[in-house]
This record gives sequence, C-alpha cells and structure tokens, in this order.
Amino acid sequence: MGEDFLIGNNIRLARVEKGYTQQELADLVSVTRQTIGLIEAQKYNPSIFLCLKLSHTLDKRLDDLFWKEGNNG
Amino acid sequence: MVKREIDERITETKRTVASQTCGILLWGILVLLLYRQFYLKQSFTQYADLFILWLFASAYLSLGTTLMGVRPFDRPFGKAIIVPVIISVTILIVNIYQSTISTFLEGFQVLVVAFVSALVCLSLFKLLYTRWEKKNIKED
Repeated sequence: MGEDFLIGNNIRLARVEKGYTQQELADLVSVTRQTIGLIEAQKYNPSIFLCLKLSHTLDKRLDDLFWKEGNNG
Repeated sequence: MVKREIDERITETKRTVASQTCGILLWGILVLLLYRQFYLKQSFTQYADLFILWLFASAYLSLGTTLMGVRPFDRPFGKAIIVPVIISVTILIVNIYQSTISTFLEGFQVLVVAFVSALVCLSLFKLLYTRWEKKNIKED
C-alpha cells in the first residue's frame, strides 16, 4: 500500500441504467457534475464515504461498482 | 447551488494548493531572512518582524501537525538525535563564518546551547505525539 493507483468503476453504466444524467447523480450525492465526470473517467479516486453514497444511490453493491484498477473490469 | 463548498474533490484540491502555497511562503521568507542577514548584513532589528512571523508560522505548522497525529520523525528517537547534531554544527559554522566566536570555549558553548535547544524541541515533539497516540490509538 502507499503506491499510487486508480479506482476502476462502473459508475457510468450504473448511472445510465438508472436513467440519471451526470448532473442528477451529482445532485443526489452532493458533489459537482465535474466530480462525477472525473470519477467516471477514472481520473479521481472518491473517498469511501462518497463511494458508499454512490453505491446506495445507484442500488449497487460497493464491490460491483468499484475495484482497484488492474484487478477487474 | 451550494455544492462547491461540500464537494470533496474541490475541498481536497483547495487544501493541496493552499498547502503548497504555504510551503512556498515559508521557504521564501526563510530565503529572504538569510539574504537580509548574510548578504545585506542588516541588523536583526531591521528584519525582526519578518523573523517573528516566520518563526511563529513554522512553529504552528510543526506543532499543529504533531498535535493532529503526524509523527514528527520516522526513525527511532535515538537515530533522530542526528538532527540536533546537524543543527548545532551548522549554527557553529555560521558563527565561525560571521566571526562572532573567537575562542574554542565560545565555540563549545554555542555548540552545547544549540544542541540542547534542538534536543529539547525534538523531545517536546516526541512527547506531544506520544500523548496524542495514547489518547487516540487503542491497542488490541
């Protein structure tokens, strides 16, 4: 631990399944649309708090939504 | 909307940039102080205000991070003694360079005072961190 890594995620897919735009999802989890976009582009690692909010909002299990990049897709 | 204020990415970004700015300021002021003392050869009273500001900010930074649970040094305390040694030798060299000491005894006094002062500071940080650790970390 300690090395830099990115968190892979299925946020975009899960969001589209629920019919949310980026802005709508951002409003639901109290972040900006830009942050959602960066998370989906895997350019920002969300905190565990935000990860839990997203999984709860998108009705997905945490490990179905997020993984350490390189392990799963 | 109020989102910008609570968006964790924006908060984190602002903190990172503010921290970097603080580092630039502290190092910049230190360079200015050294420039004023050694190049412009100003008397202490001419830059005392800047020195006090730098000293307070540096002390706040060091104490603040220690009191919030950041270890002051990673190596064992016995090995960290090298820091007061380096500081005291540096101060001795600076004094010799500035011709403020002329005898061996004066040099030895400067060395001892600087070493003891640095050691006391080191011990204080160690003590503060140990207190924080005992208060916040529960052992199994």
